[in-house]
Amino acid sequence: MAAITDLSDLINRFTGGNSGTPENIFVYKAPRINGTAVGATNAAVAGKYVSLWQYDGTHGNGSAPGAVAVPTNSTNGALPITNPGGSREKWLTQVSGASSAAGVLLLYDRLLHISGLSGTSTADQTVQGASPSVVLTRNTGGVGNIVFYEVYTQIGATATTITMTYTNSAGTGSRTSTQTIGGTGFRNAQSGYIIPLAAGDKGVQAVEKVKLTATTGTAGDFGITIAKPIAYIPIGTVGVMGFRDFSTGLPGIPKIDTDACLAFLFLSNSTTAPELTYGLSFVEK
Amino acid sequence: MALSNYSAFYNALQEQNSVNAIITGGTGANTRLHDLYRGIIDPTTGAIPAIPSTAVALSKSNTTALNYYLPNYSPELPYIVGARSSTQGVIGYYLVIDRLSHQGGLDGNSALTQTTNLPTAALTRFTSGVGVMIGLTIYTAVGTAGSTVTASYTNQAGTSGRTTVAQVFGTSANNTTGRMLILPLAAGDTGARSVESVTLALATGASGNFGVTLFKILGAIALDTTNNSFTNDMITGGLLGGIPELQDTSHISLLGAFSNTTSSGNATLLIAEG
Repeated sequence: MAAITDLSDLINRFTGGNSGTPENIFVYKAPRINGTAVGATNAAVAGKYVSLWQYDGTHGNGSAPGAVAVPTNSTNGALPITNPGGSREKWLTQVSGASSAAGVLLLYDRLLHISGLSGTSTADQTVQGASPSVVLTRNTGGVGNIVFYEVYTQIGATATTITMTYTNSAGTGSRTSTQTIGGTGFRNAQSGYIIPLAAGDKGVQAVEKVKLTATTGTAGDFGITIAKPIAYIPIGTVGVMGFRDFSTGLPGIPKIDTDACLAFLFLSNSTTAPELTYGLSFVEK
Repeated sequence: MALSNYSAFYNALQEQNSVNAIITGGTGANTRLHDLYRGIIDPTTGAIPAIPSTAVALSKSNTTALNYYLPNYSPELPYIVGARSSTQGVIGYYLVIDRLSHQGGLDGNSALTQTTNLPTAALTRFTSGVGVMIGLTIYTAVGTAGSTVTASYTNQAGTSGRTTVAQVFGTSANNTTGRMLILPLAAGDTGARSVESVTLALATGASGNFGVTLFKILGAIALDTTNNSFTNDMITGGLLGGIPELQDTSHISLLGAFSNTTSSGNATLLIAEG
């Protein structure tokens, strides 16, 4: 691994020197799912994350994944970045975003996902299982990985608790943590709700299963997503482009793993479904 | 040739090869994306550029290109190394685009499949279509009745008969002169080579005039305070897209979104030879 040396190195690679292979990708996302405007069942909730995975856009949208899988940059819905060539690595240098609703964009690498879980079942619902055959292929140590439950079809109006059983970044299995699921603010499709980890844990290697304490009243369709957050981009004012330039501010220039499935959550300030334009810049070294 | 180091970049900033856009007051919905093609006076004629009709592939030799007066750099590569911009009473952002192909003459009051002045002219840059977006530019306001629009296009793999996902069209925020509506692509697609037809689900109530614009975004300029001037580059921040590379024949143009309906201001892009 060879980090960007200094500003001169970055400038040189931005302009294609030293096999810098600069890549700029700009994206437009409409507040529509498969051509249908976002409505009551998938409305944004102020203060909660909207998942943009299925939002229509200029690189096509993602879909409910079904069986547990490891998505990559070639999965529909992923930002269509190219993998670095030779033995080089890919580095994220800038992110920008403008939206029709104020909020915060969260760029993440979508490491593993599953859908098809039920909002009415109180039985154990398998994610990767006790002896997983589908495992993380990026950030496999798990440090910094987060888990959110992602709603694909609206679940019920009765609030209950979801308990997640997982393996932490130290490799310790049977860890458990909980989050509210169902009820107002915790049920809409195209939403993501981060499940806090147990005290002392720094990340997740695998999720064995989830279990609801009681039914939410409607099965709907929800899933579990393991993700590695990469950057937060504040969009403080509607219509104004917020940006992060990693050459001029913390946390430095993030490395992007080969095959990374880059996607976004949007922490909304309002109930307005966001219409977004955003861009990302990369170089290789 | 790449800029070798910070000194080369600094020297490039001093070259002062620049392109200037004076953006006149326009109308349109707040915070919505606008095509500034007709909001920027053609410097060679002093007139507002004409509404396109037949399908045309655009290049630097068109007088509407912001880089029309720049020298040819070939075989070297030109880069956007910085930007100076200002706005009058508005905040928002500019998107710097390479305007690849456009046409006009489509009818906002027809629910038939429209092929007038289509297909779009073949791309002469970014010919694979990867990253090329499909926009609908409203040249004369269409009606206020809510509708949706789809287009039949050829994707970046050369597959024809692809259909964009339905996008809103008409209604008060999406019918005004200058508005740009970007069409989401079908799942799996990452760009477009051409558009063959456009279909409205419903008539909007007024014909107006709109057309297809194929473009690639090169960079973005953040405008985050009103009545201010901004100097942006990849060192000071605010110019997104790194140090965007141009092709010698690029037709540089702007899109913009602003906090007010009067989108006036100016933008200067500093161009340097690599």
